[in-house]
Amino acid sequence: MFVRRLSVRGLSETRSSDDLPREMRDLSTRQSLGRAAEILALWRSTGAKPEGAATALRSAGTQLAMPTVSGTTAESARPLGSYRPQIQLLAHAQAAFPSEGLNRLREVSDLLDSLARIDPAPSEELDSVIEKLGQLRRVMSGSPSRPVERRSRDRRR
Amino acid sequence: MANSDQQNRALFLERLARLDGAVQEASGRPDRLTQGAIEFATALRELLGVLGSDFTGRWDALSGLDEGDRDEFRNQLLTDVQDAVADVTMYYLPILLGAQASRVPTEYELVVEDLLSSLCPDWHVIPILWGSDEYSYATRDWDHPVDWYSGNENDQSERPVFREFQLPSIERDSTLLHGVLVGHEIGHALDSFYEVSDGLNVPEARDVFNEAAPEHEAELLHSAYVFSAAAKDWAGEIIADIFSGLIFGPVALFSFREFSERTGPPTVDSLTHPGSDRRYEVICQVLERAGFGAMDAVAEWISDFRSMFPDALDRPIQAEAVDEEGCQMAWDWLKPSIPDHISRCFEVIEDNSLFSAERWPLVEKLSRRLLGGHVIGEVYVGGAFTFVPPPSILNAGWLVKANSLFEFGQLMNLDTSKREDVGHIALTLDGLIAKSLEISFHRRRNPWE
Repeated sequence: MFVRRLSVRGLSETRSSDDLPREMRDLSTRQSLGRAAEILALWRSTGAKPEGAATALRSAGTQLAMPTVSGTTAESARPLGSYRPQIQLLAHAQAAFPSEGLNRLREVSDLLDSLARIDPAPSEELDSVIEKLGQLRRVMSGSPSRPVERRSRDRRR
Repeated sequence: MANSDQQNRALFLERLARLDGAVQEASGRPDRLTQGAIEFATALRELLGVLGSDFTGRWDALSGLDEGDRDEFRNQLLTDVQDAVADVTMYYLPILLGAQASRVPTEYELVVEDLLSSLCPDWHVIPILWGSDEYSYATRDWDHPVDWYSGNENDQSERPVFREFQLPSIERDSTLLHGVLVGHEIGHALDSFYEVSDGLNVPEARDVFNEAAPEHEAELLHSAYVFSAAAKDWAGEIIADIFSGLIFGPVALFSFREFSERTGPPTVDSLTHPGSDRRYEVICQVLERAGFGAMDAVAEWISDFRSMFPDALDRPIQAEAVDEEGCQMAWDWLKPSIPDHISRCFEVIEDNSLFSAERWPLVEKLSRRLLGGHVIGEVYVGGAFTFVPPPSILNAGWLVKANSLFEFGQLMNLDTSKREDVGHIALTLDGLIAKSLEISFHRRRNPWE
């Protein structure tokens, strides 16, 4: 398969005129995950579901949703470019959860969606999602080992 | 003494205030800005307001957490908003600063706006024309900056969206070259509006790559991306070229050729664009479908292109710094469908917006007026003056440039064989065309009673 020879970095450098720049897309996703994590942390701390939690959690869950390439899909074709935004996320997920990136991503997405619907939340579930969102956010901000490291200083030097 | 948390908060708010000041200053002289940029500046100031209130609201809410969590989440919040400010500075601010009259031919934004409103009815998009230091033309849709920051889906928002049209500011006065802008780049906008390339389908990844799922699903996604990225980008470029030929006629070919020859060899394909030779051939096919094969002058140009690039569509991929096998697969998928894409683009454009061969006699007449040193923004027809549509103005300009530049130079007592003269001649022709576009726009908005 020819694609194995291309690195993720190489792919990210391609530019389509209609696409949001990668940094901006990443930041939009990261922001959404950040809001969700804050809400879950406040929920865990106070025991009460914060106002606006359902919308924020659902929005973050949608950001993490991935298309299904194989398995049960019935369509024989897929709209052009439908993979483009997700591939960035996939690369981040593989870095954040090395052994099972894609599955873990879908699991977090499902959990966010279910947390949006329930009240009260099981505390261990909140812990688990907060931790996974943190892992993902750290990778997306370019510093997996040091959460508060600034990603953009180097990038924009 | 304030603790570091409070210092970080204060420093960020100060930075935000300074950025707001910069945006306010850039938009402080609306007479020097394009209309799109004025609206964009307002949108940016709204974003900076939202950024500030979102930041302070979330920061304060986090005070309810214990110290460890609070510090971590506040740090993350600070990182995000600082990066948002960095993105504003990196991506939004250059558009605003580049939309000054000193960097961009502002009359072209009016042309773009008119074309979009007539070709894409009910599409509420605000065009912004801006001049970049980069030597390239580009276009991109931007959600309202507040929607980007808030992660709102476009269709859930009431805020306007923007479409940037970037041109090389060094070519500010090269009015005829900007035929690339109004042709190909507007073609991209039409493609977005009519969803021609977005409506295409690629085969399922598992069929293309013959790989068993689900064990390799992540890899399949990756593989599908490479193939679909090249296929989508190339289809988008070809479709933009088709629209350009349909709406602007021979200008699409000439301005694109002049531009592409300045930027690289025509027979090299990149991951985002097929080689220029392939695109010349596609535009030639469009011109023939529009009846230009029967126009001697244009038929001769088409024939010249074909003799220079006889196997434009059939040659193997020559890819620059990308995987040739993947690009070849994308081209093999795209090539047979080009006639269908041409037909589809013909279908979506109203007949009165097509630049067909029937308009050529007017172009020839206008070119003779240019050779007499006249502007051609309006013509006397049926007892009244009426505006000349921009495609006819640009084609007349190119006709003079391609066939009669020497004659035009003689009018100015200059010689096209002298280097110092030819630049002056071309610039004068560009100036006449720019003025003609301005008059055309004015007359369209203000018809004679």
